[in-house]
Amino acid sequence: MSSTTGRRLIAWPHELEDAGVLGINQRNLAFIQESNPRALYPRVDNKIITKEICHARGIPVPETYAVIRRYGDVRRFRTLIGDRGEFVIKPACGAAGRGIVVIAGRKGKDFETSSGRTISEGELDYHLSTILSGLYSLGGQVDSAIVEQRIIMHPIMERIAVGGTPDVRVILYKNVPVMAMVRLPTTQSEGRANLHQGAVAAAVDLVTGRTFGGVCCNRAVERHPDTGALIGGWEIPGWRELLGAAMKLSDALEMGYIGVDFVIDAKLGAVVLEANARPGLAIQVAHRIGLLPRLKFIDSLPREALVGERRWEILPRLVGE
Amino acid sequence: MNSRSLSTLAIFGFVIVGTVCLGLRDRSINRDKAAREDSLWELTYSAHFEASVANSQQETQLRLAMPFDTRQSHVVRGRESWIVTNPNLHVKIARPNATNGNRMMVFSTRQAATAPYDANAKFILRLSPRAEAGPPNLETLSSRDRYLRTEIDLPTSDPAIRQLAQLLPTDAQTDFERLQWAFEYCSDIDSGGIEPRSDDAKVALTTKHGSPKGQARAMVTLCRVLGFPSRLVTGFIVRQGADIQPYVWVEVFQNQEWMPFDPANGYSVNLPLNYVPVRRDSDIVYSTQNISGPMVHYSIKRLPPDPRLTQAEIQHPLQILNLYRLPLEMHKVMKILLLLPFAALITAILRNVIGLGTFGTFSPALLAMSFIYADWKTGLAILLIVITVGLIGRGSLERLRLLTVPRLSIILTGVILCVVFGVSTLHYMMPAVSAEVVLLPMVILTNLIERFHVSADEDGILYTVKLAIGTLLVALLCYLVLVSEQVGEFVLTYPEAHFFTIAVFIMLGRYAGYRLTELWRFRDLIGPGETPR
Repeated sequence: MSSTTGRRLIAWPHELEDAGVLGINQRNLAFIQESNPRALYPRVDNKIITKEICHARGIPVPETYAVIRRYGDVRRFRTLIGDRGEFVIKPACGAAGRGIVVIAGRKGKDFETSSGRTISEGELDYHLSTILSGLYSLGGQVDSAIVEQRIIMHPIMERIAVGGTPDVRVILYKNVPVMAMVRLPTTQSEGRANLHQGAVAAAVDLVTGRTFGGVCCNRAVERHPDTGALIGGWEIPGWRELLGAAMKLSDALEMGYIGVDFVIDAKLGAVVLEANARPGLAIQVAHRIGLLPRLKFIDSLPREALVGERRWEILPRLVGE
Repeated sequence: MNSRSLSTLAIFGFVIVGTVCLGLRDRSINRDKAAREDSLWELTYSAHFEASVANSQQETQLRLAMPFDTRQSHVVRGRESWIVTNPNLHVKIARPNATNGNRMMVFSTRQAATAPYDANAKFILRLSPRAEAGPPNLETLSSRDRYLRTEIDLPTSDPAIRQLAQLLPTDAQTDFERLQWAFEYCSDIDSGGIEPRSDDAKVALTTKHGSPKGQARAMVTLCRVLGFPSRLVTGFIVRQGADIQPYVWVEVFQNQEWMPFDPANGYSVNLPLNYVPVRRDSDIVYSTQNISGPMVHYSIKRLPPDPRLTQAEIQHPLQILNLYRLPLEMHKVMKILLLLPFAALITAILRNVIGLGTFGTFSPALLAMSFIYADWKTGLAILLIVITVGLIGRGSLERLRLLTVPRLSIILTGVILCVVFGVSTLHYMMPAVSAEVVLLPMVILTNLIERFHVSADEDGILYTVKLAIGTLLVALLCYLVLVSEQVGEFVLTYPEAHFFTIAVFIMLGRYAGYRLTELWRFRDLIGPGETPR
């Protein structure tokens, strides 16, 4: 599994086909369009709805402190949060981690972000109004802002995270986990865990929850680009619970091809951050294998095998493929 | 039926509908063109003759040469007609002559009539400037010797003429140059003046005075002496007239085809449209057998044009489909609108097959469109100013903390001011500047600036620059297609070509293969010497 010797400039289409790599066009046509009904998209695109679904199913999510839907609410923001020193503001329909502000403490009347920047009350109000105006929302539509509990990073994550919270993404097909990765922020990604912004990701073994492989900027890597630490070989805490929550959420969303993002809280364990109806494909590079064989394997199974606890039996066979 | 077979069906459907529409339109356009360019003429032969023999053993015959198809003139089939006054006079159309292809209409009788016979024949001719109207003059040279031989009217063995051929300048190297010399020599023969000129070839060649027929005979004689197979052709120069005289010109076999020459009028290789031949290898229209005193008159009449032309101004709902009838000043807008789907096609290919990212889906195409209106230099200058000023302005606006819509409106206002004063500045420096650059899609530019700024802020400058390059590339390619005058003319004439565009869109929409950029993106999945999976 050497990633430094004999790197190629491009791969030929037949090689990718042989490796079972899923491309964007095929993902969109054969999986997203086939399995994800349009009408259900708000369930994943709007985090308020996602959270409501999670609440109803008993899936852990960060506690919501307030939802700001109108400009009038912006002024009441301070009474809504009370004297909380730590919280996160995020747009309900934001994409790719845009518009998220993490407040880590207070400095008199001002706030301090997790990256150490000081933000005045006025600036925070302005940020809330830009969220409401739709600057960060998917189609530019009017949005709402969620104020929620700040996640305290699990100690095991702290070793490898740089300037932000790592998250765990599980891709589920027909409500069965098919691939998972843990995404770690880098200096280049400016604390965000999004691969296209320069974050690094390690593949996660579905059965054991151990990390291996890795990808950064579409290249196969094995070490964190900032710290040089190996990103493989450690275990995600509470892996089984995390997968269980992912399957439960997938059942509730009724969508066939989704990615569920978790963060691991020091106290709560795995909590759902959001679900995504168009999960990215770089996860394949992290795994050094394509998604298609696993997706086809799921397709080959009878419907009864894809429900409830029986799904656990599939995972070793998926990984063993 | 699943989406895949439905898509295939739709593709076939659009291709078939497109083909049918294109075919119908093409036919209609060709008919309109024919109605405008072609002319119909009626050629009438009126013959009056008596039989010169009194017994029925010998046949009396009048053979009239019939006009035939050439590149430019076409004899309308089935509309030849003839009238004879005497029931004993039989009419038949002889089979084409094997050597020269002439077709003769034969009036014959074995009766020794007392009264003279009258015969009348009419032909409808279609003259068309489009070469497809008739077969090209490609009959082969059936007998080379035949077209080099000496004849009574073409005295090639005459020593005076043979001596004349010696005048051929030595610098004439090619056959065509020698032919050209012969043509010019015979063209210079003077056919003007009041006194009647001679039809004789030798007179024309030696005295340089002769009738047009004499000139034609002179040229054939001279060409034969020089070794070019050549012949006389009799026909008509079509024009309205009750008493038209046949006219004689020349054909020379050169470069595997019979090339026409008219030395009297100075035409070579190409003759005007209205030269209609009726008989090759002869300088008279008819021949006779046992006939005395035939009198043949020729008249030509112009027939009314096609109703498609004369009734074109009558309103008809189907004219809606013809965009070319719109006033000329609307053509440019219509063309650009019709070209936009092609720009969208380029965008779709670059995004879904190549895998380029752009700001907005159709912004690059619309940007390219605006450059068609302005000249591209002015457009580019203004665009650069707008983007630079816009990005700087957007950066400083960030401090004011404004809501999205008012902020966008300020950028829009700024963009408009930049464009207006940019045009004014350019005009100040070089007054020839195009003002149409103000048609730059301001709203699109405003959005581009905003998206660029947000993307640079949120996704990092590298990713943003990648998107910007993609946007520019798509815009450039769209511009190259949109700017082409021929493509524009084509879609304005055949807007139904977009049925094919839609078919291609469906194909692109069903393309599940890898994007070109994915071959690069997933390259690390294919390690050397390792078997993935």
